[in-house]
Amino acid sequence: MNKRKKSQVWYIDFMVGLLIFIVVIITYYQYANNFVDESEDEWQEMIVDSKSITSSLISAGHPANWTAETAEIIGLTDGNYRINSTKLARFENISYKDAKSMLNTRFDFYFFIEGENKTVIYETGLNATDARFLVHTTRFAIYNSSIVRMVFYLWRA
Amino acid sequence: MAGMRKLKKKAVFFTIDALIAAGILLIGLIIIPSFHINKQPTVHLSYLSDDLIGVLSELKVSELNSSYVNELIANGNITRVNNTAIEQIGEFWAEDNAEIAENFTMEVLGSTIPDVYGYSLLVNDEPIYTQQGGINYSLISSRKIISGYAKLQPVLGYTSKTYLTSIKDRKSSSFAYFGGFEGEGTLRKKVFLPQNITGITEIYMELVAGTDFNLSINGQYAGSYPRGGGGGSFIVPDRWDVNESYFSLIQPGENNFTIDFGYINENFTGEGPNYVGGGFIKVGYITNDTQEIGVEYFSQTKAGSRYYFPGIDEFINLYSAFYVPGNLTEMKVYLHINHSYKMLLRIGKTIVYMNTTSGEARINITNSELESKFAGRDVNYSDLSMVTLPLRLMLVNVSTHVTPFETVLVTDVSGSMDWRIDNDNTGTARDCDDPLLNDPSTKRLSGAKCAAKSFIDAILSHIGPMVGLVSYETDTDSVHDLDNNSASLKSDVDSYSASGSTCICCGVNSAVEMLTNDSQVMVLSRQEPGWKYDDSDLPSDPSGWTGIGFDDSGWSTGQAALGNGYSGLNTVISQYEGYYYFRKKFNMTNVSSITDSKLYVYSDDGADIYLNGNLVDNDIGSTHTADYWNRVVQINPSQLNEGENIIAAKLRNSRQCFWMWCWDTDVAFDMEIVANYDAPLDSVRKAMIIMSDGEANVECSEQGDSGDLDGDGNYDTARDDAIKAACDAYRDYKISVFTVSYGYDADKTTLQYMANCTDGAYYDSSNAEELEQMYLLIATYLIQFTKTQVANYSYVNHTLIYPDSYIYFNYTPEVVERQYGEIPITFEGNRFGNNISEGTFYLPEGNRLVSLASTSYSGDYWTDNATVISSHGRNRVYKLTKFGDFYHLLGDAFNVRIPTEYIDIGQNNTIQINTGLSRLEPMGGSSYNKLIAGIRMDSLLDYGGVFSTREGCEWFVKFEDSTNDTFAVPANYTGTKKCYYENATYDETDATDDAAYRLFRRLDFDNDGELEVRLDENNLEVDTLTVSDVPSLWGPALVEVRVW
Repeated sequence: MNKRKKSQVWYIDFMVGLLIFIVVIITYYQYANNFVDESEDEWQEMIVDSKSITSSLISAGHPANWTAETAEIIGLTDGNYRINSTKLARFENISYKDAKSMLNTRFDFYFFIEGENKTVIYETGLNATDARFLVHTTRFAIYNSSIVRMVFYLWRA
Repeated sequence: MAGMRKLKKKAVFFTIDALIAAGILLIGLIIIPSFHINKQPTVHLSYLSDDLIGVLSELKVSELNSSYVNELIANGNITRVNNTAIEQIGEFWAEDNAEIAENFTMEVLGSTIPDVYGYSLLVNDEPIYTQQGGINYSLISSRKIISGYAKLQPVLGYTSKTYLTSIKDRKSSSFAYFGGFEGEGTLRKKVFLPQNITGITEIYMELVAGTDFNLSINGQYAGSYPRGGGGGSFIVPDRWDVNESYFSLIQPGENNFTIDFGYINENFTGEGPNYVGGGFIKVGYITNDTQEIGVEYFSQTKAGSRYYFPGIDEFINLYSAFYVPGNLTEMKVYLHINHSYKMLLRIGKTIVYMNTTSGEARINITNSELESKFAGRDVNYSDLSMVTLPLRLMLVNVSTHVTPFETVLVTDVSGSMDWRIDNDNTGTARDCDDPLLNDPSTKRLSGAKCAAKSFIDAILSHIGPMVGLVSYETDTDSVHDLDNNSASLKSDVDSYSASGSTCICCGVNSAVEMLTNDSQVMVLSRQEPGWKYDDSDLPSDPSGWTGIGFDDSGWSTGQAALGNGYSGLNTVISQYEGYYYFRKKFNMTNVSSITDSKLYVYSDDGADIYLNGNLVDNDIGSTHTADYWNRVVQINPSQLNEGENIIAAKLRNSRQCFWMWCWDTDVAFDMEIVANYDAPLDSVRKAMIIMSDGEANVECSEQGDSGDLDGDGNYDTARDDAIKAACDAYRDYKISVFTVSYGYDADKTTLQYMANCTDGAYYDSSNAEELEQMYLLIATYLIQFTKTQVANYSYVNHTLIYPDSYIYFNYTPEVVERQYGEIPITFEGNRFGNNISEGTFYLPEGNRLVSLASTSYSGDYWTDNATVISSHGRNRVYKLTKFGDFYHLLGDAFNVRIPTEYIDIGQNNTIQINTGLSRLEPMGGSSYNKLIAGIRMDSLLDYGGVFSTREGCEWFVKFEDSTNDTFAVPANYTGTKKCYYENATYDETDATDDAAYRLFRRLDFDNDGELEVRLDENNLEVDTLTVSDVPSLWGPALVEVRVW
């Protein structure tokens, strides 16, 4: 009988431990799985936004001679890779909030133009100092007869 | 240890382990999100490569603010600063400047692309520049095609166009066109030249002239031109070049050309033929008139909207046509004439003038008068616009068309002619007006009789020919001697009956005997023109009025029958009771051979007839109405003179009285003289028409041993005799033999042999209707020798129309405005060269057709019709019968205008043009006809391809007029290259040569290697435009940017 009692003690302990372990494993799996899916979706959304926005920025926009009031699509060039200074100025004068709205993104952005020797010629948006998610896209264009880089960051804290 | 044991005892080891594991997992869950922070995506390399291609394609060399690029420009390594960067890279590559290409690319892109990226620029897979980057675990490529670049090929090309410009001076021509028939006598034509001509290049005449002539230019002799000397004959024009020594006779403005047939004198007897049956005089000149190049073929004169009548100095007999090149709004006629005859002017189908004048007269017909005349024939001006209008100017009742002609109709009346046409059952006799005449059940002979009567009518409807009849069966059955009395002849035909065998040679021999025993010649026919008459009721006979030497020039002239109160009179004379006098001269030849001569008189009332002063018929004083004929008088041949004779008649017209009232009665007079010769006359054409429905089965001794002429292996048969009889008739007497088979069982072979050895023809008919058609066809053929435009006008007094006579027409032109760059040219096509007078017209794309016409050399026939065959169908564009049925009253067009709306551009068009003697008598057309087109040629050729050179060449070019020339294109080319248009030999890499060739090709409408338009440095300037800086068409090359 004693022998039988001792065996029951170890058995119960084993079952309780196993139960706890299984619950924890399942909980962990569910949590981890949800967490990765959400971040992946968000990241993909940022990539799509980034592509779309940079494609817009390297275009002439719509209408081609858009203003802050009329802009449906913000573009910074003449449609042939040549950056238009007027459009740059107009873009700069649009508030960050409105700019996000016009760029049709819920994420924060930071945009700058970099010339030869990495000289920043132009910048606008919020610098991604505490970004947890960050996408950046580079396009080439012509500004003042020089080839420049248009760099666009899209980020989320 | 005690504790451990205590735990072991409580058996919580697994639980503790599980909690520890849970804790570890929890910590892991906390750490996981940190892995997602700052996760950066793969940079969009495709954007980089696309953007680089785009930027390089946009950025121009001139924009690059680079000392290196400036140095390349300065050194000449870069010649086109408007190149884009990618083009410049392509150019360096094409020129095999790899190092410069690499440096240039590096200079352009500089440090723009971060070192982290690697990229490479390649042209046609050949690396130009490469930047090594990070680890190559993603490679993106973008490509762009650049045209005009190929390795080691020039990057610049040339494209050229050559065009004609007008210029300092040019070669052009003026024409004077003749109508279809202009005569008869000395002819004068006007040729108008510009005032500013600088030289005469050629004068030539292309004419169907009736006989030899002398030419005068502005009153000065300019050579003699024998008919045939220029290669011409009937409806075949001669072409005579006027000797250069006469060029000096030409003057600016109006020039008068005179064609003098040399018969103008006081004793003119009408010998000819002194006419022109179509053609033109052409004067080529050089002018500095830059208003146009080329000559509109249809500006019939250069003096504006006028048609000028030819001057005719002897006997006015004009058949012509004119054309109003727009919508007619006004028309006036001015005639300047000098004669004392009734003259008729007919435009289209409307007689616009008919009156008698005396001496020199100037006749003006106003627009309103003309409109009224046209309205009377339901013609308005729109009907006269843009159509070829026949024009006839003639003396009324003066000219006739008589030529002796004899034919014998030889009819088979053998027993088989009683059968039906389709078998040997007896047929039904039917009259010619029986609706069942052409039914197979009709007796063959019934159909043959009707066909024979139609033939007699067809022949004898013309004045001059005679018809004889022979019927045959076992032997010759009946004979009706040559006659022009159709009633008598047809009566004889009606008496035919069928029986017996078939002796074709008998019929032939009888016909030959009739045609050769004598010749019956109509010396003076009924309705003869040129009768002189006096209807002034002279109180006594003029002295010597019956003699040949009597001066009757003061008498009136008219065509018989003359009279008053009768229908069918050609000349109306006064009506009174009293005496009338008539005189007519006529010529006779071979008088000594005349065996018999008869005088036929038609008169109301009786008349005395004198032949050469001898009274031959005394009927004056008798009263009767006129009848063809009232009297037939035998004439003693000894009273006839060789050469000129005079017949004179004195007629007394009586009054009719009833009780105490009297009134003048009708009067009429006509006459005919027939002479029988004892031998055939060469001047009388002879023919026989032999019809048979079966096979010859009776021989003729006259043919002797005829051999095996039909080649059937049997000698001297009836068939051989028939063939021999026909062949001998032609060989011995020049009798044309026409044969017609009738029905299914006729011996066609024999009949063909019979016709083939003569200048006649064989025809086949299977029923009565076809037999009649064949007879009429033969009649049509034969009649051509009796009726032409040439008039017999002996003893007509001198008549004259001056060459200042004209028809003025105002019109709204067709809208054919000359457009910039268009050069008007006149294109003369080749002669048709065929007996069916059918020509082809092809106008290449890129040209505009303004006018098109066909010449029609009709001799003394009429231009009858013209047809265009194109994608628009078969269109009859000219039809003389539209203006009337009696051709001798209608004009005759030498130029027939072809409406351009029926002509296809870029396709062949067929134009047919034919002549005829009547609507039923087509005479074919001249193989010398040609098409002449007014064309607006677009000289502004587009630029051609791009070529590597632009030197030019010395071209050898042939022209349609068999001339050629050599000249440089461009004019300042001094190289040694030789190019030949004829066989397309030229430098195909030379832009100038290409342009010149394309221009020449455009000028060669028929693509025969010969230019339709003469080019040389004298008459036009060939200029070449060369456009440089055109990327050549090498390549393309593929530029690729790879980024990783």
